[in-house]
Amino acid sequence: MSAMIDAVGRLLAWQQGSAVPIRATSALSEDPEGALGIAVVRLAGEERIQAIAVGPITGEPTISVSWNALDRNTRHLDALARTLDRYLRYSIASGQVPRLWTGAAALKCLELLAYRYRRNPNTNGRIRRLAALCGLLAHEACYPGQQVVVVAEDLLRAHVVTGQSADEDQHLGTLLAWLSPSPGTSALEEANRRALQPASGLLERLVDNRIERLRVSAKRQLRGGATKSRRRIRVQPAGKPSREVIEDLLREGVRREWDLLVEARRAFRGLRLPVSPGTKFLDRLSFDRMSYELGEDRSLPSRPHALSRYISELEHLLALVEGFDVRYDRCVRERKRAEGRVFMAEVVGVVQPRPNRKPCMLLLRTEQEILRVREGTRLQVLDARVDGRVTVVRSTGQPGEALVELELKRGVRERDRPPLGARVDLADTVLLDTMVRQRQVYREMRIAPPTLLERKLTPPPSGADAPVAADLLDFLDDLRGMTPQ
Amino acid sequence: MADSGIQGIQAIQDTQDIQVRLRGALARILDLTVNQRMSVIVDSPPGAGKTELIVSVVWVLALRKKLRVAVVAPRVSQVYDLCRRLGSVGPPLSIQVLLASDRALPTDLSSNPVMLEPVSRARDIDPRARVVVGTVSKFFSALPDFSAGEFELLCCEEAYMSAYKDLAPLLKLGRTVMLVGDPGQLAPLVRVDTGPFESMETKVHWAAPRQLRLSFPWVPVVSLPASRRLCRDTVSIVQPAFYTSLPFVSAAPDATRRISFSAPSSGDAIDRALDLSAEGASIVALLLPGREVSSGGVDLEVATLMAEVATRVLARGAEWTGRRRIEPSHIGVMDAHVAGGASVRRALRALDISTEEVLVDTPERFQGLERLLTVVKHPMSGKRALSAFDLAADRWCVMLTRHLLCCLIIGREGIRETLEAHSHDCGERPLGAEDALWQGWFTHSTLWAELERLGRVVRM
Repeated sequence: MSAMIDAVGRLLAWQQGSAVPIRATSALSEDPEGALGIAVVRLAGEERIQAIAVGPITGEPTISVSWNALDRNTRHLDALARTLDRYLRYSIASGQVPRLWTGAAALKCLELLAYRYRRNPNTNGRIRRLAALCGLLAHEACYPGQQVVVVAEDLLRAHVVTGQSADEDQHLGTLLAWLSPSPGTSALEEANRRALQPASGLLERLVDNRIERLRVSAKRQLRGGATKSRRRIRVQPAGKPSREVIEDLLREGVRREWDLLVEARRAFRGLRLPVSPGTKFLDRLSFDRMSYELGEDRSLPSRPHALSRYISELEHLLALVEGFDVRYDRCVRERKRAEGRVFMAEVVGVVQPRPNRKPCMLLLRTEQEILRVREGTRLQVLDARVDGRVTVVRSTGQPGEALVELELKRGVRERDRPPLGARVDLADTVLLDTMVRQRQVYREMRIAPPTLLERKLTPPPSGADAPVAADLLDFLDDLRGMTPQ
Repeated sequence: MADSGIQGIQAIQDTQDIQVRLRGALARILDLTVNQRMSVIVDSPPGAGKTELIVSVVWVLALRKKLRVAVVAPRVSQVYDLCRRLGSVGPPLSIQVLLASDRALPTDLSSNPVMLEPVSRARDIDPRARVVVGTVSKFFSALPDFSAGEFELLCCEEAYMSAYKDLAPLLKLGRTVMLVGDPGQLAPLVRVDTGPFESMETKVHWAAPRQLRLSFPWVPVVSLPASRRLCRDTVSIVQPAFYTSLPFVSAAPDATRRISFSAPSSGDAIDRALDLSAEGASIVALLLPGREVSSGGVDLEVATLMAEVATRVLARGAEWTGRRRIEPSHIGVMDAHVAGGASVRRALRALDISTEEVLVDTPERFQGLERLLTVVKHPMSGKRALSAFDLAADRWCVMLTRHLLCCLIIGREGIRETLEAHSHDCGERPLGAEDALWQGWFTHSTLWAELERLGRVVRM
């Protein structure tokens, strides 16, 4: 989105006191049955999970906490391991794409968890399996248009702008203040109030400090308990041991994170955006990836052929998603129009020597000044199955008017192609599906990695011309003498 | 008088020396590729004759040694240009283009007797074809149909524009490989976030020659020593800023790179800038008063000024001294933003200048082209905060190296202040990644400081 459109959207949101949608369709398909949610509280600065809430996003979560997340104990991850494994297996077996609602900080924790435990021989098989699943989800989250991992703040930012800055939008709490303002309070005031509470898997500073103190106390109690078992355990004023107080505070903290997640989902559904038809295909791609990867325990690509294929696949998916957005979402289409990647044109001529046959040339006139169209650009007629390659772009002489000649490659039949006088939208988002070929090429690259032979290099001669090449230079001089300059 | 005579003799001697060095580099490359049958990477400054070099090597291999050669380039326009140059020798050379089935060769090429009918599949390549030319992507998609070592040499033009992931699979096609490119210019376009891949052992998203040097350190690298396009003045400004690891000089004698005007100067800022260029200043900046402009790269005042400068050049009867009068088609206008380019085109049309003749486009499109005179918009003009796009050094390098005679930079005052006020995010890059933003800032700062030091900044 251009800086100008973004700024105007934010001003509008600020003026009306609520978020402004920047898409006409939802880029996310409907939640499948039993979609999961995961919220965490992490240890500040350590990225270790000390509390986790997991469960159906429409139901009650199971909360597990670890009063001392820096120890090697992973018991608090058991519920997550069990739930995630069961849910992913069930989804794939029942043929539905899994869905996981979470936040950016929680996803980062899951990714790190994958690095820590995936190949860790000192942990049990269940945690290694959890790590593999977390790695799989973190990896899936990188694919453009994927439908499995929903990062709440990213999803909302892709669909609305608020009356605050883009940096402030990264705080899920303040972002939600613009989507579901409290009655009697302006969105700005509410956002400012919410900004005082962290929303990235961290506890409030005072609570965190208190837990730190209690943890020291609890550890001391533990050591005392181990060495002097008869010493009485120090209790809090309410009568609870420090460890239990920590666990209560963590439960409270993770519950707040969970509630934010649920509120984000509700706010998103509250936008009532129709689901983009393109998500059906994206769902299928996500399902295929997940069902293939679930049975494997593969590391991230690192060898040249695998990395090349991976980047090419990401680029392909990005182009695919852009194509869907331009085709199905009028807001995105208008933004692309401002960039010159979509333009409206009138069909002012059709040159087709044989009816319904190639060659077929459309002559298009556009009054759009900003055009990203050049000779050779592939263009598709939106809302029709017609595409072709630009052969000429020229000015008509009228200010801001251009003529584009489009040689059609698809849709040359009279019933398919736009008739004379029709006004059509065209976009440069023609997707050439070369993935099969790319996979074949990179497979060969894996078998025979690229190599350049090492040979013994003859040192360069001291003179200007290498004597062995002097005859070749003479040969070239003779040739150039013959060629017209 | 005697001094100027001595200087003239010195200049001739310098020019002869540079020609000898250029010829020496060509001899070295021929020796490596043809005689020693070794792969080679050729680093070239702008306008050093990359295409000419490829043509020479291909001619020697195909015509003298009777061997088959494949030549690839990132863009189809570069492929056509290569074919024109290769085909200028005439029969018995036979060239075939590997081309997408929905494309046709331009008529000048299809009518050339050395050009065989283009094909879209590798298996349809005519056995008579001594040279097969195509885009990197076309060769990539046709790759499974080729056999390894099918060609004696695989040449790649503008190799720094191709990513390793796209070019590496093609390496098996040639028994040896020659990659020719300009390390200072546009990097390959990879549309996804490449940050996570910067820490990998093989940077498949990097320009192919950069990664190949790491993977195969024994491959010799030959640097072309001089630019034939750029004059000495431009080289003295551009080389220290953009090519710190590629020293080069100008092979163009100063006397052949002079611009003059038949009409007298009115003394206004535009004419002062043009007069500076007539005095030998090949890069001159012309600045409007400072003002922040934040409308998607469009600054109507700057666009109008760019159009006025182009018009004034023509109105004053500019001439490439001793050669020819400067026509609209000899002028190129560059704006890094497509929308900015559109506003310049509108301003030019308003001044009755045909935009069919004056080429107005982005640096991406100007890569590989040259014009006698260029008018470029400074990417930091009207900016208070600098983005990665504004700081990119490669794009700015392209903009400043397309001219033969003179480049006029148009912008708004405050560029130095913006550069000085820029706060660099030192920690915001993946481990192992080069700091392109810092490099961009450093390059821009160095260049702008040099222009100010030389008194090349004219204020309106």
